[in-house]
Amino acid sequence: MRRLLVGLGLGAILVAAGLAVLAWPMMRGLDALVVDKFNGRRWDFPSRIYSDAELIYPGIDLTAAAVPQRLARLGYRTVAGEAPLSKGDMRRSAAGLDIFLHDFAYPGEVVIDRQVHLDLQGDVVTAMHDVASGEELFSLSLEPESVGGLYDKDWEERREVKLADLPPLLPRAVILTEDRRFYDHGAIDSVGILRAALTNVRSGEVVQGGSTLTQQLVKNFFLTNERTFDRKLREIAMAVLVDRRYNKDEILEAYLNEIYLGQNGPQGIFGVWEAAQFYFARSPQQLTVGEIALLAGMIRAPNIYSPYRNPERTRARRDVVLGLLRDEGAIADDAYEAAHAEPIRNEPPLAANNAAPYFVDFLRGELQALYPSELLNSRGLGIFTNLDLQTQQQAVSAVREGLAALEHRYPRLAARPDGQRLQAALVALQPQTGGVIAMVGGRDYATSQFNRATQAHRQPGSVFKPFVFLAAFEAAQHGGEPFTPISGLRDEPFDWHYEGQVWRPDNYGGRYLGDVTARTALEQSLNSATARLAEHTGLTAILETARRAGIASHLPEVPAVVLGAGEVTPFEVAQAYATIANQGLRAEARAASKVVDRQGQVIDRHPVAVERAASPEAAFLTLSLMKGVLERGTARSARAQGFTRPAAGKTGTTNDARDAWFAGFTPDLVAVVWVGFDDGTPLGLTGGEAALPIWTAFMRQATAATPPSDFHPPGGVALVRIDPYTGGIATAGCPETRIEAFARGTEPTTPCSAHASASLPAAAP
Amino acid sequence: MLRPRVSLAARRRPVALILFIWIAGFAIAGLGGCTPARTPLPLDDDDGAAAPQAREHPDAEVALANAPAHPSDAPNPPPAPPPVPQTLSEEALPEIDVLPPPPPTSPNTATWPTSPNAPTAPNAPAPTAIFPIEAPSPLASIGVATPPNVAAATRLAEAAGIRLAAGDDAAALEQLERAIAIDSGNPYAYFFLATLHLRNRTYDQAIAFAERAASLNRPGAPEWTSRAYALQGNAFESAGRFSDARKAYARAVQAAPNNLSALAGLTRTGAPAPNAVVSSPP
Repeated sequence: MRRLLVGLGLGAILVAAGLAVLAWPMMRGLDALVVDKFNGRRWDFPSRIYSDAELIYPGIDLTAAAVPQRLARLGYRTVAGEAPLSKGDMRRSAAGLDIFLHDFAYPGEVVIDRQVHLDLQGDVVTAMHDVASGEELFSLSLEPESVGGLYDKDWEERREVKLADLPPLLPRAVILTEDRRFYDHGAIDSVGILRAALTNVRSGEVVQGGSTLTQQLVKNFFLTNERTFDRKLREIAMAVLVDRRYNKDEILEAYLNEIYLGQNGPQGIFGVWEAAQFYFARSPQQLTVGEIALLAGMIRAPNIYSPYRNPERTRARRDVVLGLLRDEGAIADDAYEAAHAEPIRNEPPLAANNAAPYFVDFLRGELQALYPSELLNSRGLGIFTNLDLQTQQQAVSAVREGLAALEHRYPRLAARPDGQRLQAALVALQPQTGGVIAMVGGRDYATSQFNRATQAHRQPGSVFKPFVFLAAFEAAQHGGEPFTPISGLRDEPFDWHYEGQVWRPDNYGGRYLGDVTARTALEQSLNSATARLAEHTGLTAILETARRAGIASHLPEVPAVVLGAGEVTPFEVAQAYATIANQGLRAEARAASKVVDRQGQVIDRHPVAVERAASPEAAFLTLSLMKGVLERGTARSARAQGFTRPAAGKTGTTNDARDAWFAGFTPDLVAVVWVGFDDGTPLGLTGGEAALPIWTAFMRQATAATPPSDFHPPGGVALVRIDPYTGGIATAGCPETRIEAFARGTEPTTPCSAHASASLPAAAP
Repeated sequence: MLRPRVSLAARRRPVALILFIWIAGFAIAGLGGCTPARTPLPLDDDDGAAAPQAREHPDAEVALANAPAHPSDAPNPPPAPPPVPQTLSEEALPEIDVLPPPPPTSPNTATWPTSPNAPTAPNAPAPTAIFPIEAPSPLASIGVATPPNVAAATRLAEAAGIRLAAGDDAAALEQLERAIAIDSGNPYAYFFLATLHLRNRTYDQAIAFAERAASLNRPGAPEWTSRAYALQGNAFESAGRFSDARKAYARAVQAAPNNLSALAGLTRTGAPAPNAVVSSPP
């Protein structure tokens, strides 16, 4: 018997020793994993893309500038009454608008604890001042809005925060609700496991877990959710290892940054900082007791206890946590009562995290040429752009509603047997900075991610014609034959001989006007007259002019290219038109203006970069012709649709009406619209019919916040009032007069020959 | 960052060794006189904290007397501006900085003073031939009829000018880009952008922005037109494009005949000085 016992004992020791020998390498491996994870980079931080900062200044109309919508998207909450405002609150009263700004750091600007007051007359800001200092403000930046993120597989939005930077009540509430013996146990809480087991046995199902915070952290860091014995063993082993190597505060801090706390569309909310932003638009330090209790209570089931899903269930859960806090002496009775009375705010955030998906793709492509993907997807860069989310939404609406209107009016466009849908693209740029303000690459990103704004190479048709005139004006500026807006061109059929071939341009509808001015040729989009001018100017010069302006695609050096037979993208057209709008100064289009690291340090800056692409005089003369396109020419219907501010543009329609374009601009905004089918099926509509209404609807909204401004003529341009029929200086007898732009030295010097009388002043408007 | 409890002691020796090498490296670099390369544009706010450069020339007559004529243009602009030479020559023109003097205390009425006796920054490079013409403050252009975006942009531009004068290029750039974003025709914003680029030796940008500023200045403010052309002349000159510089200086003088900076530029670049008062700055 004794021998048997000794044998069994030895056997057990041997088995234990064997197991220990076998387990040792595994434990070493797990230990290395733990150390590697904890000491290295623990999380991938997606890069976050930001819009431009909205500027508010005296004189601005808040409604026209959509400031209320912007504030709502940024998470500002309207409050009533006289109580002091908290960060993120705003209050409208008879005295004006008070806003307690969120703390934010924008390159070049840091805002902390800033409350501002705006005096209003109606919706117009008349004055602004800083409430604390009383200082008068002449401009005020709202923080940039989040446009989206760059990430690898899962979009985990998270900002790491130190335990010392959190309000002490928050970790305490988490410990009380999730692992109240956290500071007493050694990674595994046997008491907690027993209690959970008893509870589960009593209820007949698994209602309580015995996992400690350390175990939960280990599971989230290293393991999956599968319920197997093997996984549980690993979890326990790694929790013990973590607990042995790191102190409790370090583990708690990692836990509070790691924990999953809900979902915002495709974006997972991780860590208490991000959750405080998502649910309360505040940093953790600014949370109320009720909000802290709510967050702590949500950890168990974030999507069930989300205030956006079921506020009553959330309230009940919060109150349980508040009770725990009071019972443990973490909060006093009056704090408990106050927190208990706090309402559950359940307005979901308006943050448009997927408002500009085509732009985000475009930006990613641009950035990938500069940075490795790993850096973009995991280092938490901040990418600042010039995108304006309000303008972006207006662009999306204009495209969606414009296409729906076309399909309603022309049912053949909607009823395609192969299921193809009519598509459109819209690009909006700031000509003076090159900043991309809005980009729509198709009618529905969910069904087609092909970005027609930047990837679709389509024939531009007559949208190309302004570059013919620009090249002609440019040649005249550099010693060529004089060419002015009233120079005569012959509009009739002719043959252009080149390289042993003959090309005969036809006018739209077979209609020829005979002798016309350059202005009429462009305003009425006359093919034959434009082609004659192009032949005279030279293909090489025209293509070079277009290239310098911003047409990057290769264009064949054949005559038909002057009427838009090459293939270009809407984005290129926008860049090239921006050059004309900016009076020959090409501001390189830019998707990102600056990139900052996670600490907010600027690591890359893309300042406005300009290059002289055409003389200011040639550009101004060209845009003056293009203004006529909207006043008298093929786009005059824009005026009938209510877009009245000074603007210039050009329609474009390709052979068989496969592509419909309108590209146009004010001094501050260029927009290009393309409409067509991806497979080139003819639309049967002109640019004026299909693209112009979308452009007009967009521009009307996008420019509403700023007062109209006209194009300022450069010093080398003279504006002269003339008789449009004779081209002479207008006299008092001329029945019709017009102000015409001329390069200085080419303006008419004699009065109108048909209506000789006293000269009118030759002044500018 | 979390640290394993067990590894601290083991790390001490390598850390000390690394610290020693690091400090020694600095010492060697310091003895060798290493200086950081200058970047074209500030990358972050820290760059803006660099000491401001000289902004005023204390002695016009010396600069004018030393300036030789330039019979021809250099065929290829030098890749980087040369250091200020003892005697000026065709190949080695001095780099010229144009910066407005400190702002007025009373924004709506004061002008930008141009005192020739203004002190230069300590350790600033050798003074250069600049006497910005006295010009009204940008804020003086704001009236009751000024559109709000134009007024806001002008205020931003004026504030950016102050930041530039303080050497805070990064903050100035932010404000200037915002200014032109809300008012594409703001001459002051373009002028200060040109100033910033000239200081950062991105001459092509300075030339383009100065031209835009000059083309946008209204007939009622010839001083700013003149300043813009003079600045463009400086940029052309620094880039070795002396013929273009002469033309720009001539335009500056045409806009405001008493622009001493432009007159000095004309003389330096070989053009006959027009009949204007050049004896001493005001």
